[in-house]
Amino acid sequence: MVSNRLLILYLAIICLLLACRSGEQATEGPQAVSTDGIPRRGGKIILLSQNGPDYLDPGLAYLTTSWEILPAVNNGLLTYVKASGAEGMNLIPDLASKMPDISPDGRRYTFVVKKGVRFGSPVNREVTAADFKYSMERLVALNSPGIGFYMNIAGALQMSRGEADHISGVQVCGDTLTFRLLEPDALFLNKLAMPFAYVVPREVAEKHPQDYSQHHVATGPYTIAEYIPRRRIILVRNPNYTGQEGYADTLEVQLGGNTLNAIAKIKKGQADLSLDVIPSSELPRLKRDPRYKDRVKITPVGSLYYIFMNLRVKPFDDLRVRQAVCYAIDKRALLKVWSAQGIIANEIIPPEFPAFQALTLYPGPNLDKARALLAEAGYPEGFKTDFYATNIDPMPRLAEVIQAQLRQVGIMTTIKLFDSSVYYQLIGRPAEQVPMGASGWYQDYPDPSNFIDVLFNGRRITPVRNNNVSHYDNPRVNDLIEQTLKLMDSQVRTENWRRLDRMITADATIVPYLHYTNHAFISRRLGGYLYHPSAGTMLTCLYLKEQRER
Amino acid sequence: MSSTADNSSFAAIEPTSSFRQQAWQRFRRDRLAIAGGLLILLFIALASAAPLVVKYGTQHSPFQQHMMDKITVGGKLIDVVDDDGLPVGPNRVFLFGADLTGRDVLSRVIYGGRVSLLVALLATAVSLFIGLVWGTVAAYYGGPVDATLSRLMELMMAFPILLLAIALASAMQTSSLLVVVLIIGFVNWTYIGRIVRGQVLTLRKREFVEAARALGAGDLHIMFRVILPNLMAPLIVYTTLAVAGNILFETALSFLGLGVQPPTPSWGNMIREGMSYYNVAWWITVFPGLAILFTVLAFNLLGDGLRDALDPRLK
Amino acid sequence: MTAYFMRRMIWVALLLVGVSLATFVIFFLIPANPAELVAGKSATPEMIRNIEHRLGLDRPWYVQYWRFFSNAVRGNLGFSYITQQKVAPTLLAAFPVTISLTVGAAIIWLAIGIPIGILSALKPRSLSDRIAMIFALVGISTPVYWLGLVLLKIFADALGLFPLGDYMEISRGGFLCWIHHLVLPWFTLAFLYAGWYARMTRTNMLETMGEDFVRTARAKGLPERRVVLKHILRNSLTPVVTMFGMDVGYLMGGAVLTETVFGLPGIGGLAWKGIQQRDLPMVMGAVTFAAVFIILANLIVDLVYAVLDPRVRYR
Repeated sequence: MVSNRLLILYLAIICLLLACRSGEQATEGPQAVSTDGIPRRGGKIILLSQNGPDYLDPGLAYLTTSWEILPAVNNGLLTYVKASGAEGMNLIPDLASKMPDISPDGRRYTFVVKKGVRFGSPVNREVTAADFKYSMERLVALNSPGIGFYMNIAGALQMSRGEADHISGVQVCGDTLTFRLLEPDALFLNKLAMPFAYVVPREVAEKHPQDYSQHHVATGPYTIAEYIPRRRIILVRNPNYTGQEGYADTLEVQLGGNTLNAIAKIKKGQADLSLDVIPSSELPRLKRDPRYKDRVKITPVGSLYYIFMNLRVKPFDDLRVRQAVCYAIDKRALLKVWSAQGIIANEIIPPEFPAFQALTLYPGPNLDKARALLAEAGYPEGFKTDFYATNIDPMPRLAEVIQAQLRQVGIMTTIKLFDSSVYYQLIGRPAEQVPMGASGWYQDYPDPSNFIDVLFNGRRITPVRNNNVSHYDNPRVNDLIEQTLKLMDSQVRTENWRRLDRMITADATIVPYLHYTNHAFISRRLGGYLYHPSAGTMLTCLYLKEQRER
Repeated sequence: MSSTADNSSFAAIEPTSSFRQQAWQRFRRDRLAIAGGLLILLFIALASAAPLVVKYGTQHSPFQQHMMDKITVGGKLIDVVDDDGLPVGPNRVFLFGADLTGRDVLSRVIYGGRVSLLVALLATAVSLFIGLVWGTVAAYYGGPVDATLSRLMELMMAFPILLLAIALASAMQTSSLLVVVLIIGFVNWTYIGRIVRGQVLTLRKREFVEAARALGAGDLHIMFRVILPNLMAPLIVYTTLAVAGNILFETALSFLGLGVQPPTPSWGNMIREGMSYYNVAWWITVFPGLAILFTVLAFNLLGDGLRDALDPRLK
Repeated sequence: MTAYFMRRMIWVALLLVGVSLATFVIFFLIPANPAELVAGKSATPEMIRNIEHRLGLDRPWYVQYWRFFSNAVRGNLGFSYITQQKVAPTLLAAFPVTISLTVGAAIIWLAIGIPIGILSALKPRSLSDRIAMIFALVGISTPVYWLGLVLLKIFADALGLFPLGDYMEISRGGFLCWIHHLVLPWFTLAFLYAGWYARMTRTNMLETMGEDFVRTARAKGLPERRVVLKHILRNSLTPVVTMFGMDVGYLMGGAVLTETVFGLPGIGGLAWKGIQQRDLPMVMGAVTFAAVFIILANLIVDLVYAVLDPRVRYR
């Protein structure tokens, strides 16, 4: 009988599937290890990432995931101390033999490039000071998204305009490398530690200007053995590397697949760590489950989530209207929308910075006060406006909660949702006149200026890709920012940042509501997990715990 | 040439009353179709009376969020949305549970029906209009007219239609109800167009059409006064089935975030909002999904029943 | 025959031009500047102008379309605005996922739908027929993305039998794990189509059974088994085969909803992501790719008919 044969076939398939499943489970094994574990050299660590890196080209990469992978395979002149929190904000030499000499006027930085560092295969030659000069000039040629960080180098502007073939302010003499700046910049070293300034070999980069990501050359402890977009990246040890090695022999980043599945895989021991955030639906379950709650690693990140109001769009030009919005928002509800992944923010500078100060300028929610302020401003019945947000969870929901909160004081909003690539383009164009919306900022380098200067300096409002989305332009604030940036005394700087934080928050240009804390869920066998405030997950610190003999 | 023919001269070609009676007899015996019809009436009644139903029935507004509120269930005071952002499941206060912002899922399902039904019905009307005009004109004139129009339709059908709808919806920027209706109506008309064309091709050779032409009726008159009434039976059947398809299409667009915008509930955007929480708050997605399933099922049952009744060959 | 084939091929080419042109025009309605997408977070207006020039965005749209078209003919679909990766290899890398999904689901829906349709038609109006037809109706009335979520909740989350979405290449996880990852998406997609195929098979069977040649065959005293297999089945499955060709062709262009729910990195997901990101080269590539399959499926079905069925005239 046909049907019987079919039945047997179906049964056989089911058995095979179950076999496959139990085979997967076996990898977790019953060999429980103690939670601290001993670092073990060798083995393969499996990492997961839904979207993967944008590029593996240091000159183009600008996603957190990319910046987590690149430090494992590439180096710059300087790097951060491998630690979380404030300690991790300190710089140490990497491919420079020591910290640079800085001229007294703060405009000349002289580095000596370390000897004996070689590029990985297929280049295999020594890294020279000239390679650093080339890599910097390449950013201009590539129109790198990071080029803005280096425009203070003398001659960078001329090269970007096509008036020069080189950046005159970067000079090579033997193994010394000199940067000349137009203005003193206390953060120049931080900028040199960004992946944009990592060194790449000219012979390969010039041959593959469009797809260097596929022809990547390593200088770090690992090299990229395979990169298939949307599938996987495999990092193996770089035989040419002579510095401090990573623990694992292989790091495999599996790309694609959703974040829920990532958690399930880590639970089953099929993967060790996800580079994405834990889905907020899964986080509460993990935190409440005695089996897993110790494996949820919580690290504060220097970040700020906020609601911006565009001062160039009526009625947000009126301070009282903006203050009314500040009073109408119930941040406790917004924290719930974020599944408690962070702490409520009432100020701009995050708690990880020495310049942090807890502000309480608009204690709320205080709906009566909000209504009174609106009435005073001439909007006793409220007004209508648009609220912009990205379509990535939890933003649509956040927008709905804010919409409901504002409706209580008569502010009626229409929600507009966009894919993030389009969204940041829209709110970054003053001509679009985006009245209000939700935005967030993660530090590029650990300094308050990365928040205060980048987000609130009125002289930084540009016709496109503008980051000052409130279009806040207060000459007193602008002056103080620019004055502070040139200061080298960290004590005075810190004082100034605090003053600025208070001034800007008092002007109610934004409603800060959340300092995000990173949550990561790791496998039972993974050790050495570290979340750096700038660089994120430190891949080279990860190890597989020594399995105890049974 | 003007059409001045007396209308009464075409009366005889209308479907005979005995045909209608027979059809009705057949339909009445089809219990599933009757159930489908009643279900549709119920859904339409619920949707149109949604404000009243919500006010006196569920007693929760579909828009009222309860982010910071507590309710008493079984003598215990609990958060509607807890500190981790998880809402309460079905209970005595919220029969279908609460969604992620603490809104009543039941009230939202009732309100969501308004959008889905309205969009599907209007979009079907749009498809019907385009399909009818296109199919009739193509088949009636035949020759180069038919060839050209058929080629255009083939082009239309070469598109992956869901992608076409998505692209159009993205291009429109604002996704108001009207835009969604027009898009769905536009991408789905070929279904009805093909059926109309086929029917008209066979009808236009029939005696009563020749008779009308002999009496001096104009083209427009023949197409829409003579031929159209004879198309009623298949049109009713396929329109009903098209409504079912369009409900699925509308909810799919909403599911992708391209339908009506929040806070207006629609079944598709409810599922979208709850999608990433299906593992911990199943009620947010399951109930609107069941609503879609039953509504579409009802239209399909009715459509099947009508087809069996009006086209006895297929029984 | 050769002339017919040539005409068809020319028409296929024209259709492709039409589809790509229409997609291109739709995307010119969207007010987003790709140069800004490419330029990134700290771009200056100067940089953006440079990029606009490099990508040819400062030229009129028809010049840009011609550039796309002339490159596409040579197999070069350009670079994605967002990821800077070549579009053609990206599509080819996603294609095995789409094939896996489509072929597996197709086998399941044929294995379920056609036997059910045949059995139902052999015993029309019996209890088993009614149950089967209601099952089929539920199948065609269920929103596919919702069914996916429900199956994920039950079989992946609660029972832990399957992964929570995701794709696994055979080369990496082996054949069994590839199946293991695809079982839920296959059944999700197949449930919908099995409903359609069961209904269609049943209807066609019933129709064929009423035809003269079947009665003749029976009258000749042929054994029932032979009548069913040889006469009825063969004749009534022809339209099903046509339908099958079209459906597979359509799905080869990507199943957006199923891929979205299960996180499968196929063609549909690329197209959808591309539309959201205003990534014109990716959208053009994906839509054209999908259209190629739809048109090819049509062509193959037509040609097979032309060869098999002498009644089709090559005009």
